[in-house]
Amino acid sequence: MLGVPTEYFLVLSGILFTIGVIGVLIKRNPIVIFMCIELMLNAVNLTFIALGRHFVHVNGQMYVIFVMAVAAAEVAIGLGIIVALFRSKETINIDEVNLMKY
Amino acid sequence: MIIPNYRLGPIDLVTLLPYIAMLCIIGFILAIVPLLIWIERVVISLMQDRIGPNRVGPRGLLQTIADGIKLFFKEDIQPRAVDVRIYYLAPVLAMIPALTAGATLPFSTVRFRMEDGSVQTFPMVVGNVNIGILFILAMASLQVYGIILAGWSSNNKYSLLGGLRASAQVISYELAMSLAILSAVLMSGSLNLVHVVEAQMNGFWNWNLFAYPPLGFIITVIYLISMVAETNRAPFDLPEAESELIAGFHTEYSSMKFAMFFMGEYASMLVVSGVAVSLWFGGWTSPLPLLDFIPGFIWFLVKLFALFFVYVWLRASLPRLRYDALMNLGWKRMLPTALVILFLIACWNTLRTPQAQDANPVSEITMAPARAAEGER
Amino acid sequence: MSFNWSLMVFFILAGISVGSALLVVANRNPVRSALFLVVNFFVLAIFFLTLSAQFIAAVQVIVYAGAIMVLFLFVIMLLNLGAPEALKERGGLQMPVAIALAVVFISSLGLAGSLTTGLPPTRATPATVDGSPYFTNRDILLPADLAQKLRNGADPATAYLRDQMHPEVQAKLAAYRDSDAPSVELISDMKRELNRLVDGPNLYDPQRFSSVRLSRETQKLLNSASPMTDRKRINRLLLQDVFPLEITKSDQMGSVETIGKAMFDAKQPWLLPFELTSILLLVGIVGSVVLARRRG
Repeated sequence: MLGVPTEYFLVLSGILFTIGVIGVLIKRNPIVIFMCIELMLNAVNLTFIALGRHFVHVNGQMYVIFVMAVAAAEVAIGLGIIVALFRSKETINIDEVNLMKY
Repeated sequence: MIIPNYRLGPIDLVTLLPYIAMLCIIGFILAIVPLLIWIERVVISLMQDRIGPNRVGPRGLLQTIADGIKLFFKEDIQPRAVDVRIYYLAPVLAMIPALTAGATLPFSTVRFRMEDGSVQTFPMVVGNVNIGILFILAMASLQVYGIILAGWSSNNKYSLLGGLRASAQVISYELAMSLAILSAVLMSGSLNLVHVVEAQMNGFWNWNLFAYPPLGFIITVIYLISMVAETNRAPFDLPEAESELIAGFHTEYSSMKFAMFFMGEYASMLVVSGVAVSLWFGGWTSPLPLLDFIPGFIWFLVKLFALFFVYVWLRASLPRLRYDALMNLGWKRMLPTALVILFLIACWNTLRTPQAQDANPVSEITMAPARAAEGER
Repeated sequence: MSFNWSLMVFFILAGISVGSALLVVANRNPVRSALFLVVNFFVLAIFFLTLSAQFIAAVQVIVYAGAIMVLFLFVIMLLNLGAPEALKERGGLQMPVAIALAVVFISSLGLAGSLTTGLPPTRATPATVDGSPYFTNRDILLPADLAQKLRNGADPATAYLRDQMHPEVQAKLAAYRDSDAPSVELISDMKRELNRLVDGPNLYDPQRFSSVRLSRETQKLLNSASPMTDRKRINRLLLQDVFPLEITKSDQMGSVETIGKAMFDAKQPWLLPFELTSILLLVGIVGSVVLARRRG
């Protein structure tokens, strides 16, 4: 897709990232919040790869591999926490998980 | 077998090969499923000492066609409380990945006589790409969506349990499967299945099955087990265990939608068997050099049917596993074994003397550091 | 001016990806959110493919669509969270604040974009049409390594290639210092000289290439002399074999080989992060097992 300027990809990635941020802010279900975080990470990946193509350097793609590995680890832990939370509280609504508040 | 002319009128057949291969794969998968079902029923009835299909057509050969027509004309029931869109999407998702995955699977070679009289060999494959086996892995990992979503959208507790079991099972066995595939990649030195098969040419003793004895054999067995688990076939057919879960994820499906699950299952069986044939059993190459005159796709088919027979054999002889036994086998036995074997093969590759490396080229990936060091000298 | 098809494809795909991302957020049903996220990942994988990152595209589908999202669906189904999220707006402030923040963020991005001078022009040139034997600047993946190897290489193949080059370029190579990044001029010079070699007579000579490990493709081409195997193609493949790390086919920037070489190259900074990430993954595995264990 060489007819497409790299800037377009950066703008697209910015929009996707923002949608992810909005999701994290307004959703109450931690699983969906997680999904929105994945969305943000992917938007960043798109930036890396578009810039890697722009500068003809493989390093852009290397970063993405690490982002993916970290995302996988994060999801495993996060979902583990959610399951543990559900076992003890029978709910996963983020507003009702407030034991640390008092 | 040499095709005398690489041009058909104004058309260059060589550039058309991928499209021909695509038609072959999709047509083959769609057309062979009735035959496979018939073979399965006949073989199982022989093993269980009963008669099996014998009414429709010679030796019951047309039985599956009759069943298909019956399914086609059955009422398409849509239960009231289902999540309609996902309910309709699920059978499609069960079938499409299996058909797509065949795209990087080479199944034969064609030899053309070129203009100057020389003979050139071309692989029959839709996409001869450098990420071939990764593409198949990606598509195989999408297969599970059909099952999960069918189970969830049916709004039936048995279906849901079937979907849950399927997702856990497929995630668990995908690990062992990927590690086994990686071992084969290390053995042959390429992710491109065409290169993997080419590295196993000239006789069955070159097959990856017999490479790095006995590691190649063990890893093949691991792949075959996880391949059966990936396709949810007996003895790993827990997602649809009819005695506990009625029929699991497809309880609420009828008519053609049920038939699509059926087709998807057989298509994915064919694809994973095809991968096994390419990775360990020499793909389209003949087991003995003197049998080279038989065209490649016949060898491929013979090997494919042999593996399909193994599927049926397992189904006839083994009882279904208990769920915890299934998870134990996957996580505590096969995954560590596959990891150790992968490690040993990598060590073997690195420890080999440079001369041996030249004689039998090993993976580009494992070679990279050594070659970088060479460049510095 | 011809119609820009790739731009149109880009806008269609971008529309799908933004739409699916919005639906991930807007949907009340987590299962549907997950499905739209899968669609989004798929579109991104297609983008990666077109941005010459084939390996990453495959990994994107395997890791995100095949593993992570299946895990999400599994947990949603295990905890039976498939029911639509109860709408319990607290104070109702969250939504307007989030949207205001989003507007601020987007506009600051736009501001930043308008303040900078923009990206420097890309060095990426249209991918060589399959079959074109000539190099483009893009094919020289590691220009510094290529310059060093051309200057220092003592094996017969490299020495021969160096001797064939224009004396001016030879002088430039001799003047090149390892600590500098090679100038754009030097890269173009090297490219031009390599293309001249491709154009020239058949480079192959068994003795000259005795120390070079020839790829299967090259060997096949050398063994079969047919109308499809012209001299330029052989020369190109031979040059690729002499400099396997430094130059590649233009569509190979994102191939597994290139990424693997960069990842495990001692001269690149990726080895330590790689090890650290594997430790992180191990910790992740242990952590999730501990978390999921039933207590009591």
